[in-house]
Amino acid sequence: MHISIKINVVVDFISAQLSIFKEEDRPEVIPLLTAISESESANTDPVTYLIENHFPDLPITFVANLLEELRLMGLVQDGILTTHGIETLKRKEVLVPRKGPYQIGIIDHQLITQSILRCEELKPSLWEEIRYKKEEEMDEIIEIPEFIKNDLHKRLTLFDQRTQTIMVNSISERGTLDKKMATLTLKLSFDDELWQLKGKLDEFSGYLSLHAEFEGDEIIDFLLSKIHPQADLIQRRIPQDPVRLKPVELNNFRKGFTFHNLDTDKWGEFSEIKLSNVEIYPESNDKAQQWAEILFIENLSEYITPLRYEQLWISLMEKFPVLNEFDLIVPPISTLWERVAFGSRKCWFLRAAIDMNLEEVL
Amino acid sequence: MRMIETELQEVKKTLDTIIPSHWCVREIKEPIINPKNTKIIAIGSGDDAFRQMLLEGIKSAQETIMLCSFILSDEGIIDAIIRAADRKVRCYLLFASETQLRKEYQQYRTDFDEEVLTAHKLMLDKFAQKVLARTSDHLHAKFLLIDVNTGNSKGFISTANFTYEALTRNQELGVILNPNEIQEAFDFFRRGFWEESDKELTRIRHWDDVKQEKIQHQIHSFVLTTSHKENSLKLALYGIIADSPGALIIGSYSFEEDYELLQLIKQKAKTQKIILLTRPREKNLPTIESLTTMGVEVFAYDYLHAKFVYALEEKKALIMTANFERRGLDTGFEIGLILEDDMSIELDKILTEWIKKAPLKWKQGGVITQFDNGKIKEPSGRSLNEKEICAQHIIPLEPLRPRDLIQMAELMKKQPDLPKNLPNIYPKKITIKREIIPPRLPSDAVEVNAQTFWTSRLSKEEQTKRKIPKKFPTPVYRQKNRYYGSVKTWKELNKVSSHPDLPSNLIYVLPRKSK
Repeated sequence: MHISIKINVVVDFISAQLSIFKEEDRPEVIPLLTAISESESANTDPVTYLIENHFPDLPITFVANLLEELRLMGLVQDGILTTHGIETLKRKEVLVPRKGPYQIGIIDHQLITQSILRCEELKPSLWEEIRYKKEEEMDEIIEIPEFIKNDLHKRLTLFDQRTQTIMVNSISERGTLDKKMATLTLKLSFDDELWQLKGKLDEFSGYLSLHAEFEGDEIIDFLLSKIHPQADLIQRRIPQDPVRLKPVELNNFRKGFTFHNLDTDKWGEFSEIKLSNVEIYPESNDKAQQWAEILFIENLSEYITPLRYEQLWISLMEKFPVLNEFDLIVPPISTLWERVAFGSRKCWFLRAAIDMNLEEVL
Repeated sequence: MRMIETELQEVKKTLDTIIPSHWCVREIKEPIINPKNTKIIAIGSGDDAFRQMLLEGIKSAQETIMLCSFILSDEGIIDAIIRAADRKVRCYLLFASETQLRKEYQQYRTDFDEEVLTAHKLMLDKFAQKVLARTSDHLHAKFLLIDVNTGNSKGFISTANFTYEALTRNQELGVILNPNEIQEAFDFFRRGFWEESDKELTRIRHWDDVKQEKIQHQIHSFVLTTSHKENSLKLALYGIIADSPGALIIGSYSFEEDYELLQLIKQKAKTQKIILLTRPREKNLPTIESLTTMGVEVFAYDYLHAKFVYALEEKKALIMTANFERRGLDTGFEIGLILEDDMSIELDKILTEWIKKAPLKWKQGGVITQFDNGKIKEPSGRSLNEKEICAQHIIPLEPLRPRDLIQMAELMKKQPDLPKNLPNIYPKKITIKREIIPPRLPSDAVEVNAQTFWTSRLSKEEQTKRKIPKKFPTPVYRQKNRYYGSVKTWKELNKVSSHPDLPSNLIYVLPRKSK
């Protein structure tokens, strides 16, 4: 079963001066930190250690420059790893200190923990433009979300095309705040042991991995019960009348359901919820018999002889374990005649062999 | 004294023309009266009783209709089947494939034309998703079964295809089947449908290949067939012909001259009377010629299509859908029925009427004098040229108008030639008539004085040598630069022609007509 949920969310775009540590793709950093740590253990000068063990053919200035860069990143001081450096080596995440104007997008919805959508550095010229504007017109004190203020110096995960970590050291209270409406599409999948919630915001490409506030399958039960009051919540399936189903639904015992503008007390309002691939089953024994007969006709592709008929019925029913939960009988062929349009191919498959005594040579 | 006047020439001759073999046209004034039978129904000459039976049968169908025909284009039958399908009667149809139909039309110029082919295709469009239709190249049998396996079953075998023309115009035979025959015909239909068809109409203008099934069959006692698996029809036909001690009447749309069955018929013709009913087709001519030399009487209808054999003495008949050819008796999909005693007498009545009123009878070629006068049809390729044998033929030729009487005398000595070819006629005697009209003096010619003429013509010296006549021996006239001599009798002409006192190059003519 898959669930697709659409919710309208508000995205706050805060433009402010930030001092952050932001994860960056710096593959050279971890090996360097490892080497410096080794040099500490060996009680050796890190420059010497690096030249002797890693860069034998390169000049000393090269290594000195590398160390300087690491120092600027706050990872190394006086030749030994800082706390930040130790932490970086441990997590294998390279967080680079940056200070400047950033725009962060924040989604706030009860279904999803407060999440930072993105964190993008504003170009100086753009910031200058904003600052000048602020000086002239928009000297705004913005409300910084508590979770960011409270989570200073903590690692926060960005939900962007790739997961990124930031640590916000400080954030100015003056900037701009824009609110935009967007539709977030979330997909739940029950194919894995732990179901995953992934979302896609229509302004952004790619999928977002989001934390879900709620646990368990409560929302699933809620939705299944909404579809049918007698929904089987244990096996997670819905009883159905076969005459209302399409051939593919009949054959696969799966169906999709869609809710529009569903207001839930617990999780807010959803503009659309789609449940795909929900398992369905006959709502009664009579309906199961009907289902089986319809399936038999749907799958009919050759002329039926009385001799072959029962065999075909049995072998077909074996393909549908759901129907085997019910007491089915092999119906007389005349019963099936009533289910098909006169003159159709199925009609002839059922009738011609009877009318013209198609009994094969034994 | 014989006056010169219009001469009438007449040439009479008795001809000994050799007339080629031909169809003698019998001037039959009485229409064909089809006997009111209960089993064998004559079709043709506008009598559509059998067609009405088919329509009534289809209209009465409640469960199933099974129809097999080489081609189907009769609008009435098509509409009746569609209405039956609309009331949920299951209709199963077998036809020849479109390829085969087109081949028949192009190669053999059979009974139907392009219009009928088009109507057949339109029929298939109407039938898609209402009936179940199958085809194969070799399906040729024509029969209809209604509500088989119910207490209300009906069945018909027809030598006619299910086209309007065949069911009303052609000389054909229809047979009403009894319950046992219906069952056997049904068994044969099953064979055609399950074992011998190769394409099925699955939707409009869409034919899918079908899987052929092997089915169980019953042994037939009444219905005879040709199919992939058997040819009881041929065996029965052989049996009737070979075992018959008396006269035979045989009918077929088509004969294959070198087919073994024909050799058997020729053998029988040596000692038994055989009458053949057929259609005057080019393809049949070799058979007709060879059988006629053996004493077989051959009659024909322009639209005969029935296929049968009737042994008069034994009162045994076989009516079938196959022609006397390999295609139909050795291979194909055909049906036939043996009829004996009272039932065969019904055929006897029909054939007696057909022979009596057959419009054409074959005559072998010979000298004209051995044939009666009358219309004939002479085969010429695929067509028949209409001609006539007559007692006498008079040919009036255009009158001759000679320029002068000398020329007229020459013409009178010559007999007119007999024409080499007379269009559409074979006369036993021929008379050719021709007038030779003598020339007369032009109205504006003036008489010439002999003395003046000669004086102006001769030189003084010539004038001294010869005597200038005072007058001409016969009046001489002049018109422009021509000189005419006027005579009234041949004697006079003989006397004066080339007279030295007359101008040379004189044109001898009769005098002007007196007013």
